[in-house]
Amino acid sequence: MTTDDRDKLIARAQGGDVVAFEALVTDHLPMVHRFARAFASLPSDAEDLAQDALLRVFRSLRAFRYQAAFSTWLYAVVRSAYLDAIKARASKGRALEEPVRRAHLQAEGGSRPDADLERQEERERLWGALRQLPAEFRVAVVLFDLEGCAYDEVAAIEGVAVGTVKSRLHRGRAQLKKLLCAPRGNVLPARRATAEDPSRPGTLEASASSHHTRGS
Amino acid sequence: MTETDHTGDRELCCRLRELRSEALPPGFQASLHDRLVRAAAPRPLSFWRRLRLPELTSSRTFWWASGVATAAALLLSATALRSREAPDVARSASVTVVPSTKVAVVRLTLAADVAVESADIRVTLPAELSFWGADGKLPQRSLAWSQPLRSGDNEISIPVRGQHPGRYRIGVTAKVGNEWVDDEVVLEVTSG
Repeated sequence: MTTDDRDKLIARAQGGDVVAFEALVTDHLPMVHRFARAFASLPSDAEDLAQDALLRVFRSLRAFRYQAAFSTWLYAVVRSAYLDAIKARASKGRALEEPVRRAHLQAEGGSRPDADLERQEERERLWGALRQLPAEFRVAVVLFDLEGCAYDEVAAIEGVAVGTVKSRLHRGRAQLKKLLCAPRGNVLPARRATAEDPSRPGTLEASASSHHTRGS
Repeated sequence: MTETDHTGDRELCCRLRELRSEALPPGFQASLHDRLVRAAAPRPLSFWRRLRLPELTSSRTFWWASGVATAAALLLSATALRSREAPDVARSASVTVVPSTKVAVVRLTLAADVAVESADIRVTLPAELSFWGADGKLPQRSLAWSQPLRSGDNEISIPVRGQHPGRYRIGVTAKVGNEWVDDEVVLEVTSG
């Protein structure tokens, strides 16, 4: 899609054209959905979360001013939606639980001849560990390590300096490695409620995570 | 960071990249479509509703207090953002040209849907530009103040002068509660 085509789609979508909006975001849907998986354990919740975020993008489109790449703006809105969802969840005192079926799978242990099942278990284990990271670390790790964004892209999406992104990545990876080294049965459900507590990253990096201040 | 850390990071990264193979759930796009159709159209910007481009609109000319310098009028774009959802990056803003012998009056227009008791406003200049007062160049690089805003347009004029040719960016931030507007104007100072 050329820049001109994209700009035309943006203009149409800003006027409420749903088809134009869908054409605009279609390439981003898998990433938006994967990003949601880092914030909601149940697949159905991740789906709802991703769609809620995309609806927010649609409704906020008139705030897009072409001053950043559209994708950067989109992921900034999506990230904001996910962080807001965490806050809302925390304020309601409700943490989405890991699916019971997975806990059963792990408790059963034993050999699993089905390679697909093993791969699925590995994926769930990774998602589970990611969800236990403080939100700011999680965002950096997902965008950089999982999605392959560049440092400056992540920095632009998060509204922080590149150095802050690097610091969050470093600390996020260290925590993630520890989580993944933990005995399997302990990784996913442990500390579920605190993992979704948005106050934690703020406590860890009070100054660096003030993404509304542009470092001032 | 040790070599072991690097290796560990690479391994971790490889494991995480495997997650990228996950496909969208079936029916995701159809369900999204239904929700979009039911959703309201993109909402107009709520608090900050203005979208005035930084063109050298009108040929307004201002006379600065001393009456010495002719002022080139320049309208600052302070487009709307409900929050800092979109990070600022370099912007291809319109460029306004002013000769180094003149004082440019940066006209900042902030429009609000409702009157507010206090907005925090900050204007920051690069080192090559100066704020200009009745007695000439002011030492401050940044001016910050709070003021009420009435419903509708609120115009603020700020005299600025550049004494060396070049293109410079003037940053402006306004904040009301948790809502931000920030923007920049590119001022091109020419010789003569």
